[in-house]
Amino acid sequence: MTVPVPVHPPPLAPAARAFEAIYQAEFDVVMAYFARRTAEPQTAADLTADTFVAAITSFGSFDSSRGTARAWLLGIARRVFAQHCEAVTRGRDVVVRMTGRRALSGDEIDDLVGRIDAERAGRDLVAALSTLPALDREVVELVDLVGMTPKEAAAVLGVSSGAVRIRLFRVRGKIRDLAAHGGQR
Amino acid sequence: MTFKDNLLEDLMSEHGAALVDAPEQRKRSARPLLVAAAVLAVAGAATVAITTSGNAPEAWAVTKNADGSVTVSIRDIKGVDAANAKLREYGIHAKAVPMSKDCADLDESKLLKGGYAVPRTSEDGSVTMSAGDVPAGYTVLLGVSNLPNRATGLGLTAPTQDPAPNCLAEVGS
Repeated sequence: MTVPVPVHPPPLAPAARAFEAIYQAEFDVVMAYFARRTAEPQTAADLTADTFVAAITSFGSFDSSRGTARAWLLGIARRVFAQHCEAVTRGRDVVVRMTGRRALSGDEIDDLVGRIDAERAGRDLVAALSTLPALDREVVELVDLVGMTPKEAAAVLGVSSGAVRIRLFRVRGKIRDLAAHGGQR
Repeated sequence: MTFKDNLLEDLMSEHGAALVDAPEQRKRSARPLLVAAAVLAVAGAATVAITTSGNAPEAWAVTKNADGSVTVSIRDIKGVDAANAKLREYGIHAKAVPMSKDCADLDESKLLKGGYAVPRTSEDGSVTMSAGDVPAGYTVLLGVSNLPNRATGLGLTAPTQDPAPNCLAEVGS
């Protein structure tokens, strides 16, 4: 006999269940996206948190018939990162926004450092491709690192899937050239 | 707990209310509830206790099924007293109670470890029990949560020794 001990909680509302399922499935992808852009645990944590805050507060606008949850979330992550870069460029110290966040515990930092370390190769690749136009870099990252289809990547980047395929073809050629010349071009 | 766990907990506690207004929730209308009530009325064998207030969904419903079992659903804490009166009338050893962060944890030493039938839960959050499911002197607590991200479903416990407490500690965030 199954004994519900001590309390079997009430189920989550359907929307909360749906959000939690998406969170559980896509957290690692979002975290890795930022871990490829920063080796600083607090920054990666803040950007990941900002992305999911934006996601949960706009969850009503997410329409799964128009695209995958992953594409939707990475679209948000991309905007969050762009805002972060703009803020840093304008000299608005990250400390200002961190006042709204609780400090990370030691366990959380260890966890994040592990995740950031795991993305070292991806971070190196993103850095190595820094000479390429930003959109080209992102096409390679989303398709070749995240594993998205060109159609999904197109939804994230706000371009047509045809444009993604063309860029992918072109950028992969450049990467082969870079590799052949030891990254000296 | 990991950063992933902590962040989800923070999101749900600070922004969970936003999920109540998501389209999936907004699509709900009075119509399915009226249809459900009509079906129960047509069933004939069922004794239905339903309260309504204008177009608002019913606060509670206790339904006696054809096989003698009783199905209870409570959508608002306001329906607790009336639902409990009906459960007592049907001889069901269950008591609906509000869930609260301020309520003390259950005394696990008073929980029955076996010798009873586990209440049946359904997708719509209702709970079904029969009169003989729980031995005399014990009561299953049916928790009604007011957290914004909870559905209308009931939490439930193993049978606890009488007298049953009047509230249940909230679980989750």
